Amino acid sequence: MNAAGASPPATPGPPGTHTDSDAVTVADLRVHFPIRTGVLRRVTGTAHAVDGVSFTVPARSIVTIVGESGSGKTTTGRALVGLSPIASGRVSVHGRALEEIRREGSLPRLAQIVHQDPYASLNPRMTIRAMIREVISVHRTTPREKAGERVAELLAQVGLRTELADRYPHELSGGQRQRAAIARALAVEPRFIVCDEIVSALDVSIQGQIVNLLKDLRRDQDVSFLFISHDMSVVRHISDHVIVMYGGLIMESGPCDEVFSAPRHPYTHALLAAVPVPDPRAPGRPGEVRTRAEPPDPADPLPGCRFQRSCPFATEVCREGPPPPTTAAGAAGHTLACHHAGTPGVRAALSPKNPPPTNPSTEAPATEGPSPSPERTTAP
Amino acid sequence: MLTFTLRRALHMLPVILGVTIATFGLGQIIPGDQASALLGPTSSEEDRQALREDLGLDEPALSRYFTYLGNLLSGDLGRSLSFGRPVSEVLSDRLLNTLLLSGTAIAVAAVAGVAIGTWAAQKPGSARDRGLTIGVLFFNSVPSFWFGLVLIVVFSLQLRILPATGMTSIGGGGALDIAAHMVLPVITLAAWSLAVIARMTRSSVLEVIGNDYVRTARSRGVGEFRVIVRHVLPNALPSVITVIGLQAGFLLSGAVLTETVFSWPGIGLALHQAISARDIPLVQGGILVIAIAFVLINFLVDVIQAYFNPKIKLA
Amino acid sequence: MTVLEVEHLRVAHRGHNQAGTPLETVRDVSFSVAAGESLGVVGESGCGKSQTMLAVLRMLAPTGAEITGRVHFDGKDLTALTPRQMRAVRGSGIGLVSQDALSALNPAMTIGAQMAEPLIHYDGFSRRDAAARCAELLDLVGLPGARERLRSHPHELSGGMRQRVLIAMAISREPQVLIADEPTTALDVTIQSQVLQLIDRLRKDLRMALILITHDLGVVAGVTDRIAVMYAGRIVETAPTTALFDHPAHPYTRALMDSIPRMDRPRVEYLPAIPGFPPDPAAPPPGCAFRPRCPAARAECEDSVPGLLPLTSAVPGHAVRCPFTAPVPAGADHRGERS
Repeated sequence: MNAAGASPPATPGPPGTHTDSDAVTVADLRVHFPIRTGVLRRVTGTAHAVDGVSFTVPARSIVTIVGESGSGKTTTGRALVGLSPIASGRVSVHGRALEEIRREGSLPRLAQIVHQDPYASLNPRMTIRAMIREVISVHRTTPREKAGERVAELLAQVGLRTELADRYPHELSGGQRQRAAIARALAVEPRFIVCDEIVSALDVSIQGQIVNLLKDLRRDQDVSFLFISHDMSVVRHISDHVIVMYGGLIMESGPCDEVFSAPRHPYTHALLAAVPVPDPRAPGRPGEVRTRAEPPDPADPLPGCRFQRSCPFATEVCREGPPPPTTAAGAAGHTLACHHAGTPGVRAALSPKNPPPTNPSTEAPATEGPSPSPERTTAP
Repeated sequence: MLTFTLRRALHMLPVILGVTIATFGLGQIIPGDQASALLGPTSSEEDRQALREDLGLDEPALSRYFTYLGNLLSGDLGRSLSFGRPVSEVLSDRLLNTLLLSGTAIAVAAVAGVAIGTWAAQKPGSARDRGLTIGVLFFNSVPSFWFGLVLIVVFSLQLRILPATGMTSIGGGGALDIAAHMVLPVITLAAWSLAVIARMTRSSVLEVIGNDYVRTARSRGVGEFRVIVRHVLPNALPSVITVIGLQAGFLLSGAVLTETVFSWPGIGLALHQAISARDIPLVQGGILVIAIAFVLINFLVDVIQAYFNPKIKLA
Repeated sequence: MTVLEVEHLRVAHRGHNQAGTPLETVRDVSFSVAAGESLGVVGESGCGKSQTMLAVLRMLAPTGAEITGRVHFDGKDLTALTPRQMRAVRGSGIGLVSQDALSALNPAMTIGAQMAEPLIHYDGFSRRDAAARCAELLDLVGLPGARERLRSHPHELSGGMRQRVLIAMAISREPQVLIADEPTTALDVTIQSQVLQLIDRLRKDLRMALILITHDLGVVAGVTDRIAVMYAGRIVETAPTTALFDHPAHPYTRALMDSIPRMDRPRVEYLPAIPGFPPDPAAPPPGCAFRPRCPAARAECEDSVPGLLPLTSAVPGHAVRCPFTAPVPAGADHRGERS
């Protein structure tokens, strides 16, 4: 699985505890946004975007958070670079508290973020070269006289031809823009980069280039990545460790091969089953009925498991209390939060060998929860 | 929507309070002594001192401000020195004249500007579009008083089809007479704003017309006129309305020049006279009225925008 | 029965560069779809797939776009219609679902108002009937609480719901052909499959011809009957879906197929990606446009643009624009270098 020369992905210790080999540790992170209403804009509620998340990103590794819109994955990633208001919890970057690093102003030197839409995050009136030079001079990573060389070096690292350096963002293709955005993040020489859906807007044919680029960077440089995505097929090929989020909480977390070969959480299985199979003869194509509720309302978190409304296995216990985090039997570093982790029927149904037509959520009766806005396809 | 309107209305209070501080302060920092302006250069120092005490000019600034504020709240804007009548009377006589002139001008500028801007944006780069660009450049680089004088020369002195001045009071010569007297000042006043609004509309419509939802409407067979009226303009107008609001404010202050050129008996002409006569209470009152009109226009702009954009209401 | 047939369609935009050379985005594209049939049009951004469809609907920017070729629909040549006649075809003859449902819906109008607009103004519905029809359509696309939804504004709905609304709008005037331009790209993977299933079901139930445009071969695999692969404004391969997946013939098709991250194959360290980028439409390379990225390029490839010729020894309807290829069974090692 690893190419020669790649550093072995370290297995993270228990979430939230720091070891020297960890780039980032997150313990019980909560991000809350106030909801304001009325004439006087009083705070009348709180959106629990991230509601108690713990994980570690080992140095020189690629950890992925996967989930759909509203899962809190992007908010978590933004919190690690100081862009989300942290309500509580401990975040440390290379052994030092995020708050402390942020106060002394060196957070951008340590941690950078690359966004989904590079078109929106690159200044349309600056050439790629000017943009990277600006970063270099602001952070004084390279002496002034060597800045030109450094720009060329960075562009080479991300696989952009030097003649593209004098172009403006709108003169580049989507893949080239994303490379430029990565080069700009690298110019700071950070130890940690958050990649927020950076391939989602790209053509499939180009996605692989960017994924491979991150792997090369991880191999050649002392940098670790938090990769955020909704697409399991890409996640599978890039991650050392996978974290599955839903409704602001971690559903399942484990080494990539573990999670993909033996998913233990019904939500992970649903994500896997949703990936289209590029084979016209694959069974269980259109016509299948799926019932899925909208993600839970972050302003009014459900008691119990957050996935209960969309889960085909949900029972009374799932509606009563939050599932305790458990360690998957026989797999180091593989944890999950599911009341039915040990229920034999559920385990059997979640086998990845089960093709989509027998996907449990397919055959489940319509489990419309109390959600005001469930999404549903009806049977033809 | 109601919540938004109320919240936005609350925002006006501190602004209006700030305006009263500014107009009051204006009376303080304007050089020259009111007493000597009133009594003339030949008056004795004792007489002047007596008048100052009479007018309360020797009290501390703060207490004079609160007196001023209290008077404003009871509708007392002071007494005009040059007209010898209460400022509120002088202004209310003329407010209607000014509103008639600038209201008509902004209506003309808005309707014609939006129409011309939209028309040009439908064919970017065409002859009509280039014509618009040249027109905008022309009207925005020509000073309005000069343009007004040119209009007077051409239409009143040469062609003799429209009166230049001579408007004394509203209602004197009937509606037709008022309309005839309004044509030239309205054109003068509207020309600049019309050009600005047309240019803003053009760029705003161009931006919106490229949106996917316009494509969606077309792809469902919606006709081009409906596409413009139902899909493009409601989304293009908010930024245009901001400009119209600003222009309406400019028109009020621009009225000073235009009213002077055409001897239009409005607040602008009164202000002009008040400034020359150093009639500070009237200057203060005039500025206060114009500033409050400005604030109200901005309030209206925001409410109209919220009506067009449902997302603002939630913010 | 063929409902839409496009012959030798070309689109050229003028005045896009100082040299004044026209920018050709669609170069000699021909295809057809029959009632109830579905055609996938696959290619990377900028390959001309969306431009082709906008040209069919005559919805390209009014100035500067020059369209040649013929578009037969319902016994008419669409390129010869007056703007008024063309308007009558849009929506009621050919429907369009676009990519990003948030920007494709008017933010200042309620869902109900925009859905009902053409029904009331062109199809003679009363307001009440139009509202009932819209509610029925929302039910049809699986959006519950339809009556309530009609009063919502687009930003109050989730991405998946908006896409359903857009589909409901596209089929509201019962078109014979539905063009879906990347209908799932902006959605979460879990919602993508639902939306694809919905489109497929509607196609069958309403007997529409479907043209599904996408950059992802994986998306069309289970939905379309035939596939046309486009590159740099041309169709480079076309075949029935199973034949294309079994025997991809053009090097570009193979590369595209390899670049899909597979869940059903072993994990690989490096994802195969197509090296380089699609050519600049203003300055395409001479000869075969794919040559600079092609792992099997030869010197002759530069000489002329190869024709789209039927593959002998293959399934009927399988044609390819590469003279140096023989069909290779899927799964064999035919992948290009990684970038």
